[in-house]
Amino acid sequence: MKQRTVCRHPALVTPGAILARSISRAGGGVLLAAGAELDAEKLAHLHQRGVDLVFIAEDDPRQPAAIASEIAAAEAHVAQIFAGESSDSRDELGRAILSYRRTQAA
Amino acid sequence: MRTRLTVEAVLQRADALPALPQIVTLILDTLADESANAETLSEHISGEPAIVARLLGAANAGALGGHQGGHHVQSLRQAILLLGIGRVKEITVATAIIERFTAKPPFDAHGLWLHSLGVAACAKEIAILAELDVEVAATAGLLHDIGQLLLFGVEPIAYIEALNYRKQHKLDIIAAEREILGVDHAQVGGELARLWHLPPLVADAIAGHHAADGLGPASELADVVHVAEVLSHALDLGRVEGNQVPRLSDLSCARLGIDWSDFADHFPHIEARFENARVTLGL
Repeated sequence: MKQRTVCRHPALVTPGAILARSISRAGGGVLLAAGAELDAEKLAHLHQRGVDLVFIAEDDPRQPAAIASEIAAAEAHVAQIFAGESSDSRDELGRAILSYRRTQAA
Repeated sequence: MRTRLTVEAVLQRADALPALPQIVTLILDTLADESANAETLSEHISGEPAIVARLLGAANAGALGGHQGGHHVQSLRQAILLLGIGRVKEITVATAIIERFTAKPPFDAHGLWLHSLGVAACAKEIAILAELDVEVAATAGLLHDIGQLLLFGVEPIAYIEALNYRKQHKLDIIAAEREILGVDHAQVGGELARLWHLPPLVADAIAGHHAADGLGPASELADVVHVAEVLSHALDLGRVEGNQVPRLSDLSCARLGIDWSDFADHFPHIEARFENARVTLGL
């Protein structure tokens, strides 16, 4: 099954999730490598070490048509909230949000 | 009907809001104090049952509960050690403020605090980039709209009229408030923060968080809160009904050195931290 990567606080991760990106130590080096299974003990350990974000891989059961529809909805929503007065930095922010939402929806 | 208020007149009626909780003042006084330890914090917090409950809830949240040597965290001291001092301060300030400052319908206090939590989450991430104090930025973000609650407390009917006027005329909130009330929530909130003896940096940021006339706000922290507010709308944090991304000052972005295509790497972090804060605070 296709997978996608999502970012979560360790407190909101269900044990059994698979780490999608390695977690580095503050001083360099890998604390936990991508592919590791995050059981409850590992999650508590990460939290104790001050790690407040992890990227995990989630199964994505959506069909291509559903993905295309979500991308279109995300694009329409961004266009709607960014309607109105513009400025260089606001336009640049709008483009960054659009790209982020497209990636998320895909 | 137009109401003509002045900032001074509003502040004379500041008792329309409850006093700032003492625990918030104590925490804000220790923000820059590296020597503030778990013991001191525990003493301050132990008499605040709502805060203790939130901290224990955060320490036992999700998968974290039940994995402290096989036991749930049951004491405040254990919770402080597990969560870390920074996170404890953050949860304490947010809980004390959100529980103390509410408003009756039709004012949407829940929506205001959800939005403020989103602005605080964005402000922290931007403060890291700007090399400013993260906890001070989060506090300024959390309190940036406190002036709205005061204006509603002082003139509830006129304030709701200002919110409706804003919708009807598609204005930004500052323009609508000035038109209907003669003052705006940023001015009033900044002065209220001074009255409460909050750090001047925080008061200036609250007062300056709306860019006026195409110019940026007056302090670096005000730039952070201004940009954080726009970003929170852009990321749709709190899913505000009828959300519109407000005007964004080019000057503020330039002063903070923000390049949005680079900063986009922070978007998932902001969303994840906001979601965790929302769940922790029960919003």
